[in-house]
Amino acid sequence: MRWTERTWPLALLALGIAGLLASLVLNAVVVAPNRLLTGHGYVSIAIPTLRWLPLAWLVVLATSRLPAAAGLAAAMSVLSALLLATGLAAAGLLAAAGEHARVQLGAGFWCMVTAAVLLVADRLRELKARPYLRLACWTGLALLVVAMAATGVFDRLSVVQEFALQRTRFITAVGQHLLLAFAAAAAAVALGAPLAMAVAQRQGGRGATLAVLNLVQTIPSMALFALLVAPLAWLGVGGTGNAPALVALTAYALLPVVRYTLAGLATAPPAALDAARGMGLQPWQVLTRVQLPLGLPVFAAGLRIVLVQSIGLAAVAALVGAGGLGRFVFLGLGQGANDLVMLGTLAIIVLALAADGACRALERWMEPRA
Amino acid sequence: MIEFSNVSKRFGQGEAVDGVSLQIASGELFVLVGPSGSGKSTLLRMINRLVEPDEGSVRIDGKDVRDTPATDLRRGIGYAIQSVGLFPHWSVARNIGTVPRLLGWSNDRIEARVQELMAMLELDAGIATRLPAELSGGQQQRVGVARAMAATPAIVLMDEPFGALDPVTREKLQHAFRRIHADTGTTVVFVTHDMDEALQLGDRIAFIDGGHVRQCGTPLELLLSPADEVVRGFVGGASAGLRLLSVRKVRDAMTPGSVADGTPSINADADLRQALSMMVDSRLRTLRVDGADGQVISLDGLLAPPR
Ligand SMILES: Nc1ncnc2c1ncn2[C@@H]1O[C@H](COP(=O)(O)OP(=O)(O)O)[C@@H](O)[C@H]1O
Ligand SMILES: [Mg+2]
Repeated sequence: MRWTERTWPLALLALGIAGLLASLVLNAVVVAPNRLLTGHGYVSIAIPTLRWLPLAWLVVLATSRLPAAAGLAAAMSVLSALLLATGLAAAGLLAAAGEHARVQLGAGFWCMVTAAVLLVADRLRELKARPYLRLACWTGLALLVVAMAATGVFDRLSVVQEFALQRTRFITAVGQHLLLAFAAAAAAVALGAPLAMAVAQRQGGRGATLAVLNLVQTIPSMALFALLVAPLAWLGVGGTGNAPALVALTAYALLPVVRYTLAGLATAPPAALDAARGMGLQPWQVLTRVQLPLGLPVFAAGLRIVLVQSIGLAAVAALVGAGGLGRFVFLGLGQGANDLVMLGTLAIIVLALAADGACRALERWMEPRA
Repeated sequence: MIEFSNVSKRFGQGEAVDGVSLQIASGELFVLVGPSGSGKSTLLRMINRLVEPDEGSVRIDGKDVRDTPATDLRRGIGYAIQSVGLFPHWSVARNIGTVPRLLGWSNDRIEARVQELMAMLELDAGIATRLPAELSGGQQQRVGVARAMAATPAIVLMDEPFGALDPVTREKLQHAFRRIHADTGTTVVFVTHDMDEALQLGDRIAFIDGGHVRQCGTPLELLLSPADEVVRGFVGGASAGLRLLSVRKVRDAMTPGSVADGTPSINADADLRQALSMMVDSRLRTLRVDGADGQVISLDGLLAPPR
């Protein structure tokens, strides 16, 4: 403890310096003549609305030796001010540019956002924040972003303009994406959990099952989707669309489902299992009364991993003609419209983070009961 | 009565149990003692069919255990083990009530039985709602024993139930357990690798070694006439004399006589080792015996050959 107190907070310094450098040398925004052409980048000190950023990062650096609460406040302030000022800067730049001009977010912006988010996370960890305080900080930031979006602060950013153009299709895609990911997770649980229970007692069966599922996991996702097209077409299910996507996503989700189910079943102490059998519990009673309740936290963690993985992989499903946010990514790549790619990617990241957060909250809520 | 007839069990190459025949009388506290890995647990677990013998049979009151469905059989036989195996997610009360609940007792009856058992095992009623992790090792073992006896089984199997406890706690539990056994008349089959525990608790003892029964008899028989050098090695050693004293009662060695007024007295049911200790403590060769007029216990009485 004393040793860490005397050492410099290296992570905080590194993040602060990264933010400072990003504000000085990387493009905060890029102004392009239209949504497809490459444009001209601006460092934050070149834009009046963003000129204060290096100073802000110096303040953040200065707080690295201060108590965590002060550092947390500084990081959260910089993060929200950065978002607000970037939106305002975009509006200013666009007014001076041509009719079809777009203001895109540059590497400098993303570096600064990442550094600020990591700083907030680091400071929260340092505070040993109670779960609810942690949750309050993140939801507070999220609500702030939503409020800024609602009042039109971000309307002049190219990503948001892409969203405005695609609004209905975007909302449908979010629904499809979630449906696909949840359906795959549900199917994997329905298949994988009984499979794991069946092989749990058998050394050989367990090894073979895990070996096969590990093999599936090593097939690159695009290849697996492509591999499934022919056999499914032959089966008459349709080689493209939602069927192959669902099959492939389920296949990928099986490994974590089986692995976490096995780990969860192994949570029960061997002595408790011996006692349970010795007192005359039927095998199914040993399972439902002892193994399942004791494994609950592990099962919940497994479900979280499976959901996050499926949400991420569902992006690739667009390749075989399934719906979902992946469509925007591939459409954008095809057109060379980077902001369309960005729109799809950001939405997937937000969905994955939201699923992760919700599951963690659920796990924590369940913990004292188990 | 529990009857092993020529039972054998192999795991892989080795013979864990090899042609064992034993008879355990009803109401007896029967101890299986022997070195680690000698096959004691395997023998014990044949009684409730956690292990099925390769050869031979186990009969309870004349009926082969294989003729009763395993779960029905087990619900009628108490089972307590060294690592306790309490269910970590269930309260003490729920743990104790496991078998009664399986048997479909009413909630009121289960609750009354749990209270009765907790009192019997000297467990504070306040811990009924606690989880096992919140108990001391001694309390956990008491809960384990209470759970094994919950549905008033005619037979209780115990596999080194006090093995993990410190000597003081262990001795307390051994005493409590002897008393409970005497009160309930349950048949108990008790596994231990600790010869002192075996001699202290057992009505009869089977000495197991390498899957065989080397000797079966009362504690006194094992001490006075060990069947071979292996048994002698286990029961004898430096404390053989003290062990002999500890398995005999004052009642069995007292003689008519008189002592000066104010001489300390000892209970007739105390063992001779306690008597010796009291003699050394009070620097006297003769003690008065409580509740036995005109009887004394003397150093010569201790040294005389057992009657
Ligand atoms: N389930 C099992 N699988 C394989 N070997 C076993 C099993 N149970 C017991 N054994 C072996 O059988 C022998 C006797 O074991 P056990 O009855 O547990 O001895 P004890 O209880 O006297 O220590 C040991 O060599 C042990 O390794
Ligand atoms: Mg054993």
